[in-house]
Amino acid sequence: MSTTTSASGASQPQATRALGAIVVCGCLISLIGFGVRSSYGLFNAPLSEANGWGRDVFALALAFQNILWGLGQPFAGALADRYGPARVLAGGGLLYGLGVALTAYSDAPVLLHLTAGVLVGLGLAGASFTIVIAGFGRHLPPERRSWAAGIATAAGSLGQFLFAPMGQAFIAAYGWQTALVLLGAFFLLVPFLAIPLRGGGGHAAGGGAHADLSMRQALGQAFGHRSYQLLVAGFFVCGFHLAFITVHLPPYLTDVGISPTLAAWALAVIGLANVVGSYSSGILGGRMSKRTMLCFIYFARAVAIALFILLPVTPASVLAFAAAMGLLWLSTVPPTSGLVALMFGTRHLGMLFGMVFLSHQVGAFLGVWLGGILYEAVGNYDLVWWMSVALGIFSAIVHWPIAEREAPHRLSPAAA
Amino acid sequence: MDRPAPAVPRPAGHGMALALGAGVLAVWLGAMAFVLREAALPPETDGTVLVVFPPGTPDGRAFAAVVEAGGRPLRQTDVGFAWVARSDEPGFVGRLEAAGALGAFGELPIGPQLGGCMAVNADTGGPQTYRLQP
Repeated sequence: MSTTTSASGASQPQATRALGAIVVCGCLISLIGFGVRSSYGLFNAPLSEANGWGRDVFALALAFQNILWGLGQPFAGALADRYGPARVLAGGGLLYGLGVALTAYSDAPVLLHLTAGVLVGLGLAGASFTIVIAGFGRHLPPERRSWAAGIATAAGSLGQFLFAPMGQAFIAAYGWQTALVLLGAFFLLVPFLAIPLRGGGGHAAGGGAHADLSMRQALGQAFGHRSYQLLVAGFFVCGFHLAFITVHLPPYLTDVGISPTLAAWALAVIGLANVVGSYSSGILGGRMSKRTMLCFIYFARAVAIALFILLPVTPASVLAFAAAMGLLWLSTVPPTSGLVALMFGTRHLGMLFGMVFLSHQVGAFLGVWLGGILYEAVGNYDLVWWMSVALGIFSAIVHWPIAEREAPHRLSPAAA
Repeated sequence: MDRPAPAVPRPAGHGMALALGAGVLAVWLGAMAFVLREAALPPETDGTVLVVFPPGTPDGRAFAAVVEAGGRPLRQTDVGFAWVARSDEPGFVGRLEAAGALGAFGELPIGPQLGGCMAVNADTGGPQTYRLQP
């Protein structure tokens, strides 16, 4: 049984302090990373107007940012597995901050695509909560990991809630260019916050029967394991739901006659309930079956969406739906990352969870895209809402057969 | 083993989470107070402004403060303690502050931005919790 006593033989209070520093610093990185990104939309109008661009220029930069985050996540995870999470977080944070600050001086579309798109996208991959959670997997005892993943996810959720008003206040006080530089400056903190997460690269990561596999072997082992395949397929749905609702819920509410003020409150309720849901999910993930939790979360999403579109849309139903979706929003993250660690240990957790996250990003892309093109094709969101219900049920079903135990060791390290 | 052994986080874990959340909120409130102070209009400003009074200020008191500062209350905003007021006499903002206002602003957009892991809503014409502008 693991305790909070570190491997180095530190005393209990010392080990507890070390654990506290790891969790607090990881959470602050998650908060900054998620928060600054969520305020990016505020700069669309001033940047486009200042440079005489259409909104498509900024939109393409965000598209680059998102796709590079998704594609970069397994590589950043692999680097964290190899060299330790602290270096990747520090490097990613600096890249992210540089991208945000230089966005202020991007006066040509290609420069904007390089700064807000490439630099921020790659920086996100390095300084995201995915790496933080992988770092927790290395540094914390098993019984604390789910709780820590929950608090890191909740911190990210809180970040997006706090940074948007701050970005707006920065713009009001100093103008949009200085606001971007100030937001970028927050990332100067990341290398310092990453210090408690240093170490834990390579074989120091430990991690059970799969610890001796090379990255390539670990990847082959994972994709040859049915439960991992099911997890990857299920997390695709999470991305689809979140991205579709984030982008298309406000216009949907406007279409059905809900006031912009109430629509904004609905987003706020989702954000706040998400903090509660993420943290609760982390706690529950340490007490009950993660597979069962994920089945419940996806099925509950399907039920919530179905009720929302079947019942008359009223202010009460909007807020109830927002609260339900908020509780279920990022609550998938702690049990999903926990299952990856359970199946394959922590040695390749960054890369393997990064791969699961890539599936999430593909789902997110489709959620935004299909929401747009189907709305244009049929004039409403009904089809995509029902698609979301079906996907929720699909995801609940595919999580059910997942074997919640260590994956069988199919490859021997000597076969490398 | 089909499921992990039950492990109950110790209360200290929840305490740490609460302390972290409270600490972050305290820093955020301090930073927001400072930045909003920076965003406030200078005392010599006149024209149409958004006046912010201390939360809980009675409507009658806020109305009287605007009149006392030589201005005309144009309308109350969604937030009871913020009013749109106008005066063409220089020094209007300074007089408002002397009459009890926290500050006056040209515009104060406040609203949530929701982000999934991938999507960021870049629609700046989207909903705002409070659209506070003169």
